[in-house]
Amino acid sequence: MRNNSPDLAQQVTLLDLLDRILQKGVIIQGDLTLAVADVDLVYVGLRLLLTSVDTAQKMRSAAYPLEPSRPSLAPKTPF
Amino acid sequence: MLYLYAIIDQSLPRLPITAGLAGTRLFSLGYGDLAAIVSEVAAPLPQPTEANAWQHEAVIEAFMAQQTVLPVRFGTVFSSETAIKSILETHYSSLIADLQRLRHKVELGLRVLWPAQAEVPLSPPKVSGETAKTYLRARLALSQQAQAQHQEAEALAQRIHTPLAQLALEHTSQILLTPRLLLTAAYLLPQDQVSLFQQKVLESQELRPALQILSTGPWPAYNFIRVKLNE
Repeated sequence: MRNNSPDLAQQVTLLDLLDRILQKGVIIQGDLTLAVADVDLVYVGLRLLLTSVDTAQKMRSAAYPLEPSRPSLAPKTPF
Repeated sequence: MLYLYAIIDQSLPRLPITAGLAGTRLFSLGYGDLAAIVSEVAAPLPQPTEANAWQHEAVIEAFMAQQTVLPVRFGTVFSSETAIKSILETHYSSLIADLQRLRHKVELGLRVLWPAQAEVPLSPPKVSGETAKTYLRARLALSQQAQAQHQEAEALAQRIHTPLAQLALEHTSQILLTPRLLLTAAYLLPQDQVSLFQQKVLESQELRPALQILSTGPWPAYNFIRVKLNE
């Protein structure tokens, strides 16, 4: 990892953190679960943008103008 | 309102000095051999900002050294202690089962990045052709090329993933989550295997200087929770 810039390491760590705390762990439908439960994580390049499903579609079209129908996230299939 | 951070395997834990979200005081709600780690938060509810995300994580990690911890997803809030205790009661045996399975285990994350110029396209680029026939031929050639690139990427990801997965008790992985993210994976490891794992990651990086291979963690075992809680 010595060749990697601290910026990149920091970005990846934040990406890993958000991936985990928003999508993994014990998931409880609490009586007051925050709306973030339905947040869709969208990756643009490596920059992670955190947004609702609604604005995700707009950002995706802006980031990939040639592929407006690109799916949000690849299915989580282990190999 | 009670914000829930984690469920741990000790009913009366020693509380760390770490504060909860928005500087709130942490406390525990015990039930049997379990406790929920909570703090009283006021409206407006905490948003998933970078600072709040790290604070949520810091609370969970503060308990990791002493107890086994089941991290709870960001933003889980309840109106009363009774509501939380009833969850511990209803799902008691599955929570205990996860806690036992994850005792002395941690999670390591891995991201493998292509150099920006070598990204594998997720779908073939647009082609133009004089006639329908030449158009289709060009289109086919491009799609075959993309498919070959994709297979190559998959094989490379597999070569990085396999030796690391062999060290792990459980693992998850995805390839090409974005064109730049060749591999995204998580590995469940016994605590005492972490440095060996990190060593293997460094070796893998040295073999492949063109890629960026980054491991993160140790994390609480977010990816390996099995308990499903439905009210």
